Amino acid sequence: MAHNDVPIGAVIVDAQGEIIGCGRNERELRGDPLAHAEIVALQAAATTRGSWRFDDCTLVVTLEPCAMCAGAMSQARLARVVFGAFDAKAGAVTSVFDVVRDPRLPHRLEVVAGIEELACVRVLKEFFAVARTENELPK
Amino acid sequence: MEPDCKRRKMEEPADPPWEALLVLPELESREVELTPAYAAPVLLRTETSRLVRELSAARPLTELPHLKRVQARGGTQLLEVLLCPAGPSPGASRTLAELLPDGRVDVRGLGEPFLVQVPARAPLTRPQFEEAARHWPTAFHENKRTSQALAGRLFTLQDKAAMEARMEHAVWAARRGAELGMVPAGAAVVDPATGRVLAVGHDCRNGLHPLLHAAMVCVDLVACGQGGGTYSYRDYPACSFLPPLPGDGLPYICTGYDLYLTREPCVMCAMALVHSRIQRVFYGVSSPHGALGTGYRLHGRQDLNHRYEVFRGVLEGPCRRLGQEPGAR
Ligand SMILES: [Zn+2]
Ligand SMILES: [Zn+2]
Repeated sequence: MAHNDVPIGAVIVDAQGEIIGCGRNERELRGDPLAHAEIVALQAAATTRGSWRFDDCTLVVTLEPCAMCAGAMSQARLARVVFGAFDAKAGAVTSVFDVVRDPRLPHRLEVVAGIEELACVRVLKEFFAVARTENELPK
Repeated sequence: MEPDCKRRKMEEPADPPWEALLVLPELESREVELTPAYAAPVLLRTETSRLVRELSAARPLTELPHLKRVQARGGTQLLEVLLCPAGPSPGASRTLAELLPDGRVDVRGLGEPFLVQVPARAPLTRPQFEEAARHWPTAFHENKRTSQALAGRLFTLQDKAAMEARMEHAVWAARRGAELGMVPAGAAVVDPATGRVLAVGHDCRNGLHPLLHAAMVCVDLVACGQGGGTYSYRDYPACSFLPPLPGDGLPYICTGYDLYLTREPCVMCAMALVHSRIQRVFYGVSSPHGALGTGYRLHGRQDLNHRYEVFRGVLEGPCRRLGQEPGAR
């Protein structure tokens, strides 16, 4: 990856299993602190569909979403979220909060957690290991 | 312009003065949590200081350091002394010999032990302290700023005039948005060090993009001012930004900035403000699914990597009326 963004990826799949939008974390690339993979994928899916109805769709993402993305998925009224690695520090779908299954909020999603967890964790670990070595190189 | 303005003022009902009320983070706002402990009456007052000394050495209150050792029962002369925490599954009646088995405390002068509910954590605010002290005497290191803020004394009249002027930008933007069929919510980002209004925006969820609530618009506008950002607001002239001054240096997005919002933000927006490193948020009215005081209190969580201060009630009257103006939804 040319830019220094943490490698997190998301896809949105419709009821037929067709991918209608995908995104990766582009905070650094775009200079936008809100360009998380889930938000980018939602933007792409909205363009594909030409509408903002996702109640038949599933969002699949490598890392547990934060509260912003969980709130966005709830706003977008997705049916389901599937994620790989848990985020103990900021995860908002199980770990720190459970925004998408909160009975106080107007829309709730089905959750499938820990799918291909090891593979998702490995991608992140490799990225951070490389980042560390690069920082340690002699000047 | 002016006569029109004056006429408007006369027609509008006068708003009661507003207060900027601190919205406490979760830890500071939650109810006092209690935990069981063993205590015993002091039957011989002259033994009190010896008992306290021996207990402190033999059974230090390492998990409950905020608790005082002795209390006078309900304003009487009768003293009671805290022996030790009771743990998760306390037995109903335990003897002194069971509770202090190692002989390091001479139990002379102590009565039969009993279970008592004591505050589990040090109080962080005066209301928590007053509640805690009803259960057992508790030490309290008062945060002056928090107490001032809770009493509504943090801001001077001059501060409030400045806050009002800034919120008026947000109210103005909300009205412009509503005229274009948008949800009537507005926002403004201000650098409190210079007083410059860096971004003004309104909710664009019915137009540009469904996730563009007013706070998201403003963060994106600030990012635009810093050479980043994602959207173009060409069709929404009330959404605008100022680039930073040449000598300013680029802060990371909203570091050190204040955000004024006509209404309390949702979970998505509140977390976006954590990501943007905002310093303070001032909002006018609460919303049913708000995440800065109503449903969640996302702004002061120790487990997230950034925290910000939140005040509600700024220019409350006009903010409240935004939802009720003609054309609004
Ligand atoms: Zn996110
Ligand atoms: Zn929002």
